[in-house]
Amino acid sequence: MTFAEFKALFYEAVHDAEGTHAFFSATQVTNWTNKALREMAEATQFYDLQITFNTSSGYPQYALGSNIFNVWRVEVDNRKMEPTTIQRLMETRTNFRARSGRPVAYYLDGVTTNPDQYQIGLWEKPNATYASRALAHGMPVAVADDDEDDNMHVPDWMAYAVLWSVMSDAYKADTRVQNLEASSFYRHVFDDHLNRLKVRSFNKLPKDWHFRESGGGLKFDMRFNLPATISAP
Amino acid sequence: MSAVVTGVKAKLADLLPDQIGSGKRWSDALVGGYIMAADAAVRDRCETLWYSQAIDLVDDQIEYDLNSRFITIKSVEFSSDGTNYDDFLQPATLGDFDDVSQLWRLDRSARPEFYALLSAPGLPDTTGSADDSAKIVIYRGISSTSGEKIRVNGYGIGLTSSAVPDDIQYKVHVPYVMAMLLAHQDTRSAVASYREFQRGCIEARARFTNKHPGGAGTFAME
Repeated sequence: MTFAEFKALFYEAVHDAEGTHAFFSATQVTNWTNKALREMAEATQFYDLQITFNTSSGYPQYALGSNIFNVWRVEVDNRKMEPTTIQRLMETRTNFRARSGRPVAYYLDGVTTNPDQYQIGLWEKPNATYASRALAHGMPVAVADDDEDDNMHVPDWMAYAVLWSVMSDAYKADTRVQNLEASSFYRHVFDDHLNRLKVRSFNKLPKDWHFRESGGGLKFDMRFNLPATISAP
Repeated sequence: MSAVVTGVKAKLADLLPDQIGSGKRWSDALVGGYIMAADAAVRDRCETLWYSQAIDLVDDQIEYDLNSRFITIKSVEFSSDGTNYDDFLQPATLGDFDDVSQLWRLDRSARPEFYALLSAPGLPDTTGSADDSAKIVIYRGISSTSGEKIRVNGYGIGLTSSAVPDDIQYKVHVPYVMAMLLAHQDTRSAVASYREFQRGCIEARARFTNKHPGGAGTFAME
């Protein structure tokens, strides 16, 4: 669903018309839509944002942008970086800031000085240019009037649910059509849909199969490689 | 059985006589949109519609866009000739890939064995040139392809013309749309209608799952 289609549906629903500003301006609708999208993304982590960047020799810290809730994986030169903290590095590695090489770990503490600019640190600090990648739970692409023909960045089957959040905000606003009971109802419906997206997003993989927890090293057991019988010496 | 938009609209017209249409209380566009909202909710909660997407594998490519009609992914099949799907890929996580191989992004084979998912299924690209949709990651990629495909199967959303049994339209689509249309007029009635929708979903879902005593899609795996 495009944002233009979404707005048309909203204005039909509240018997209003875009541009006439009888009750709700396009700016209000845009703001409420973006608020709903961000709330959905943070609560359900439906968007796995991939950020690619190149390291620079001697530079340990990298800005990843402002549209991130949290980073859940970092790769440098196609290798997974282990998560660590500056605190742990201080305790276990002498003069850790001076060491350079191909990074093996990343940390998040002590690097972000602007809350709207997510940063990570790599250890050891890179000694060359390495193609790198961070995976994060990202904020969806914001809607805008200028790009109203773009698809709304939410799973298609949940796009209508955004409407219920915007309707809740619209009926909450102090206008001649204010209706707090209706606002509460639409909010309840939105929350109900949000829970559905949580289920789908957190359980992406089928449960009929058995697979291992992520991380923690190799899971192969050498006993599986032993022959069924071992002859006596 | 009737097409969802025309079928539900006809049933709503019985409850809201002479109120739907051009120049009337509720426009066709609005009611049609609400019906599709109801249908998306029903497809999610009742899992009534299977949807499949065949993807041509490309040399050295391990990430592929998923169609935005998906709600959830249930299985992924592989075909070496693009016609006969004779193998399944097992679900995994990127962490599982790390356990198997440190440089798994570079590993290659004649056929992929595992898949992982990035982003919730259904997430579209915002524009034709954007690359921000839900994705499937396969392990291992193929270095030199010759017609290999994977087929992704799962539950999906329907179209305006998708057929839905009439009694399900009464049970779930109609109360959902009534709740949304009338909430600003009579909220208590809207709450009751929404509860009717939720209850209807549970009944309808029972029809589409547990088709046999083992339960749909559940097999003993030893």
